[in-house]
Amino acid sequence: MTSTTGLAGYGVGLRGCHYRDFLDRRPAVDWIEVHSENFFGDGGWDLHVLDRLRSEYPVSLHGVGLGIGSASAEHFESHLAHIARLVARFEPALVSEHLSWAAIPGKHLNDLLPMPLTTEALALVSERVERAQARLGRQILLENVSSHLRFAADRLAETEFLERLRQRTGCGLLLDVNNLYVNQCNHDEEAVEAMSALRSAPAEIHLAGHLVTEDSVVDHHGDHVAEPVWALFREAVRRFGEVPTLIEWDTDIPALEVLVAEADKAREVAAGALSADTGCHG
Amino acid sequence: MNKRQFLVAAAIAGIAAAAANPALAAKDGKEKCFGIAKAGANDCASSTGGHACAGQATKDHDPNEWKYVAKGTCTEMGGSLKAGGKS
Amino acid sequence: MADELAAIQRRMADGLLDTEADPVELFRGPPAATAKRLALYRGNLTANWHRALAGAYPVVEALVGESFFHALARRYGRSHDYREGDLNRFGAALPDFLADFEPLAGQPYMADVARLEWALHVAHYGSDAAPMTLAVLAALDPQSLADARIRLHPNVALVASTWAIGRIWRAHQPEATETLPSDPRGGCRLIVHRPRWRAECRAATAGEFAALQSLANGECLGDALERAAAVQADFDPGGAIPRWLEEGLWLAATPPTRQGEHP
Repeated sequence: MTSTTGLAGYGVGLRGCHYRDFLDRRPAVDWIEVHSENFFGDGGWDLHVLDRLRSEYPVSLHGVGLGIGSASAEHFESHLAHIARLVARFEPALVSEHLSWAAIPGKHLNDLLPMPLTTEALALVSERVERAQARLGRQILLENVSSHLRFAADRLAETEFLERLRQRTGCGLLLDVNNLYVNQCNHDEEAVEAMSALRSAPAEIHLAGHLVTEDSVVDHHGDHVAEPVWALFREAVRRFGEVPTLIEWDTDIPALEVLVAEADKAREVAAGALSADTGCHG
Repeated sequence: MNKRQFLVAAAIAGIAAAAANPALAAKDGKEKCFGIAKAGANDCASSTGGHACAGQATKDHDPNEWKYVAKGTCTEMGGSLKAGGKS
Repeated sequence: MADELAAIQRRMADGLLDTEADPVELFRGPPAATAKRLALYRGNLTANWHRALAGAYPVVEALVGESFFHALARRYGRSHDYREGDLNRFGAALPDFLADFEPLAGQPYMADVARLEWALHVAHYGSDAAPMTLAVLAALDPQSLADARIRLHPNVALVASTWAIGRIWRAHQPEATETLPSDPRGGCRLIVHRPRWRAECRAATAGEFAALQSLANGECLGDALERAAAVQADFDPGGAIPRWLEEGLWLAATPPTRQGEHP
């Protein structure tokens, strides 16, 4: 079900503080991903930079504000129209959103709030994904999110929810391995078991750092990928093969070299996992 | 010549003179682009948390009045004023 | 059936926006731990609001200090019903909010500083439309110029204040050559625009400001120049107009329609 996008390998999230480095030095990463909402303006520097870089790198548009699972549909169409405008302009290799909600009637909370994992929610999100794919004329990916809380009403595991969503709508999946780990810590959900709910490979993988606090593990995107997350990534590669993989860094963003090195590390870890796998069976 | 005609004539003369001066006309086109980028307002919405947030894992009551005492550079400008600037 | 989902989301949202409500029964896990984790989401909300506002209002933040600004972001975020999934527009209503914000009654210039910063923020993300060039203007029929209507470039904003907001703003820029005024009183008129990529502002003369405002209001160029001369005796249209064009302040000129003709 993954699309033939021409996007492969290891990328990094493009952030404003690295624009200059990207323009001047064209770092050796295979692709870049941006947050769609940062490009909703009519013009300006951000759009200009992306215009220039898209001829050098395949681009992935990653939405953070659609809130596709909000029961209120008030913000849905206008937000989608902005994304459609970007899709038409940049012809991205991938377009993704989060399995989350964000708004109630009259108010947007601008966060990735966890979905109640119910069959009712699955019906609603399926319908929204279908509308989005019809509007954009292409497949979108849905990402598993990290959360501090699980609802008493939940009837499905998150990856099970996503797999059913994929079967119903033909959407792709974006597997955030760090989020699986964070949720394993926060909710005692076995990350490997969560991965087992996926019947086929995701279309993209995210890797990022997290922060362990007394009350919860926070998916803050502000550090190197942690060792247990690399271990889960190895497991993911053994199961699904090589998948386009992205390093995300959003808080205390370091020099671009650090991100590029992290992407290179992901490449090595994946290669190591695949060769170890061959050794095992061969 | 009335005032309006005088102003318009001056405008026309100024436009013609400037258009004939290539030094002025060719000034644009250079990209000044250092330090332009703003941090993306939406970047942190993608991560549930951050250092600033992790420190707030307590009941988040409305702040006490002391927080509403401005302690920035505005204190260098003669402190408090009455609205309307007539103090 | 969709009602249950809406109800859960409504109750969680209320819990995040109302510090007294902890809808712990919605969630799994022990109530005490759940309350702490709800507080994490609540803190996240404020942090996102703070960051979004700080991106647009760095000078206001510097003026009031970070902890005041954080508290302000929280108060604004709770009281302002923002409806968009893009945080870049979140701060649009802040200038008006500040004008009525009791704790800032002693800093009455703050709302105008915010107006200036918002205009710069909007210009930063504004249109890339090519401004009108001097050559295009010079090629127009001089006879029609007086009656022509001028569309200002969409990134242009005219900001006037009874406070010295231009000096206050400039003193906070990284390359500042001026220091903060010791007294914020003293009015100014500013033109916000974006030559190429970086939004900037500069002081305008009374005449320039009156003329540009007149053009923005849809009056013809002849009227605009008369308004300028009325407030500034030495206003020089021959110098001002080429400068405006060079700065990219104009988007297009529409020649007058002939009598009896309707556009």
